[in-house]
Amino acid sequence: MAPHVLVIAEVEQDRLMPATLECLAEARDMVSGRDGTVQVVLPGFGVTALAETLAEHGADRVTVVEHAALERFSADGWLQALEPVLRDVRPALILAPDSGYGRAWLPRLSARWRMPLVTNCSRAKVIEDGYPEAYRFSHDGRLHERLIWARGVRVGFMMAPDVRGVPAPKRGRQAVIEMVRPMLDPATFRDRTLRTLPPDPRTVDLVDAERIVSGGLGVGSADGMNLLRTLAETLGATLGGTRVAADRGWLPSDRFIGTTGKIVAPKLYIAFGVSGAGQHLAGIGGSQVVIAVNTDGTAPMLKMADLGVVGDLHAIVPILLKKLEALAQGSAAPAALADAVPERELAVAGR
Amino acid sequence: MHIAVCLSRLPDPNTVEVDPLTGAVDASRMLYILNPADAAALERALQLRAPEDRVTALTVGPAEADSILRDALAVGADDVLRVWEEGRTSTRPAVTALLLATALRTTELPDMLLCGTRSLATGSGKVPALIAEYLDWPVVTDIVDFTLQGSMVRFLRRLAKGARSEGEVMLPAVLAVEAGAAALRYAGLPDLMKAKRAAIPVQDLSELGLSPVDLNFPAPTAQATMPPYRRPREIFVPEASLPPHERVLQVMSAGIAQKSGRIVSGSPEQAADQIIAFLADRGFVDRAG
Repeated sequence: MAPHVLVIAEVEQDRLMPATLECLAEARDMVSGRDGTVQVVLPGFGVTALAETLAEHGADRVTVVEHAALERFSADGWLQALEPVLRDVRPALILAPDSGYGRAWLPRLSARWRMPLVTNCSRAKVIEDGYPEAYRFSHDGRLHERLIWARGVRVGFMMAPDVRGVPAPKRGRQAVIEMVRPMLDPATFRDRTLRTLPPDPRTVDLVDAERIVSGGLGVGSADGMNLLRTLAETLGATLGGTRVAADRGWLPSDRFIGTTGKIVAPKLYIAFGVSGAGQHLAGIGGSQVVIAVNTDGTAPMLKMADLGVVGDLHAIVPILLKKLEALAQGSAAPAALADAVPERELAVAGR
Repeated sequence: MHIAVCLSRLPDPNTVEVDPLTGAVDASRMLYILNPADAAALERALQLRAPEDRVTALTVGPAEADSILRDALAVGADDVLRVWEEGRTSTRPAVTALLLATALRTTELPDMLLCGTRSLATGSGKVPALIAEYLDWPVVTDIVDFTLQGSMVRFLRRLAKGARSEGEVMLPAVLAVEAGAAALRYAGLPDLMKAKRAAIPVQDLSELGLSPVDLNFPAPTAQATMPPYRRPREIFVPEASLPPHERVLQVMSAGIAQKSGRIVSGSPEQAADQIIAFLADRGFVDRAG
């Protein structure tokens, strides 16, 4: 059997969700050595340009389902638009990210088709010549379940995000791109999304933060850390730190970066009073632009930085804050996050 | 307005112990709780209730599940209903959803159905959408906050990576809320005592007009449980062929290449200027003027 695996893509703010690319990698593994094909269904509006990225991540065929009413998510809209498309494709298996969006419409489709749908999967594959198999988390991740279906049963898998990681794309890989323009009446959608709100830098997980201000032992006290917190808020950054800082209670334990903590990949990383022990450096390898401030001119952290400043953070930060505030009054707020540096090549892979 | 809330009684994940060799779960060690997301749904329903409104709590489960319905009565639910087929040992998401939807249909359709977006047991997260399918209602998952606006509900939904989205849905609808959406209130002692003696109505398949055949859904042919396996995280290891000194140096650097950045020093004033100039240069802050 040449399996035909279908992946349902998810787009947020004109960007493919990494979870979609994880599903694509899983689908690629399913068909490898079996002469199968991977097709991606990409619903949205003005998203055709993303088909190229999907091809580079392993899609053989991309079906763009385009309609102005699909610009923002609606469970009713997705069902109306995608059910006919999926029926025509007749995939052997369906993969989709396990997200709030997916869980609002895919179970309804599975009920209509009497198709088994497995959510929260850590792994999905096909054994031998066509027995679908899934591993999934249950009991809040305390238990792993393994499920196997009869040969040839069409199963839907919803993959838990951030389990697999996104492999590097294959540059120049091509896919067949086709367009479907469904007839939809948005007035019949009973639910609709009005707008998307960006993450709040103060509460977002460090792993997802675009800008990080971090403090080490040199911060000296909880008051010193509060100073950095003010700076982080001024810069629209998230506050993090080293294990030493967290162990002293200056930071919550989910806010430290390094081998035993979070592995981060922000666009901007500013380290204050961080010497740069290997255990900490191991957590910041993915950072694009690094600034380090330290009193010790020989600290390894300074050698990792694009801009190293030898000086006392307790003297520098208050002045920095004053100058930033003066700047903010003189012009608008900090520049938009997205425009700061060129798009990173999905450095989420090794997370 | 009539608000229905779906609750489930499940083992506290902290008491789920998996034998590392056989993958078997020790049921005798499990302690049962009300699903936290369902508790949040119940609290939101109670907060939403105007004096003339009614809140009904439903569950699918054996007689032991009466305990969570009694708790619901104690905190202020007006009616409760338990649905179960005697002799059953477990339910799958599709069965749970079908029983709940049928129970609502045969008793009285509410104006709004609240439930937890995901359980801490099977944790399929499918039940809200399946109930919506069986009732032909709209559904919204992963809700962190919502407000009632006439015949609409304005909601805030959790997205991946800390983002949220705002939207609206027409009533009647299934609203699946996150565990963090509200903390369930405590019951007073007199209410608890009263709830302890309350009779819990139970409906079985024949009362719902269902036959056991209706509960047959496609199932996997083989199923096993095992301890959770996490994909190991890749960490840096130094090159084995290098002399010890080099290896130690590599370990110290965590395998991350040094940058040939600028190192500056000077007065704090100058340092701050340098940092701001650098940030402006890279587009992280707007330059003055």
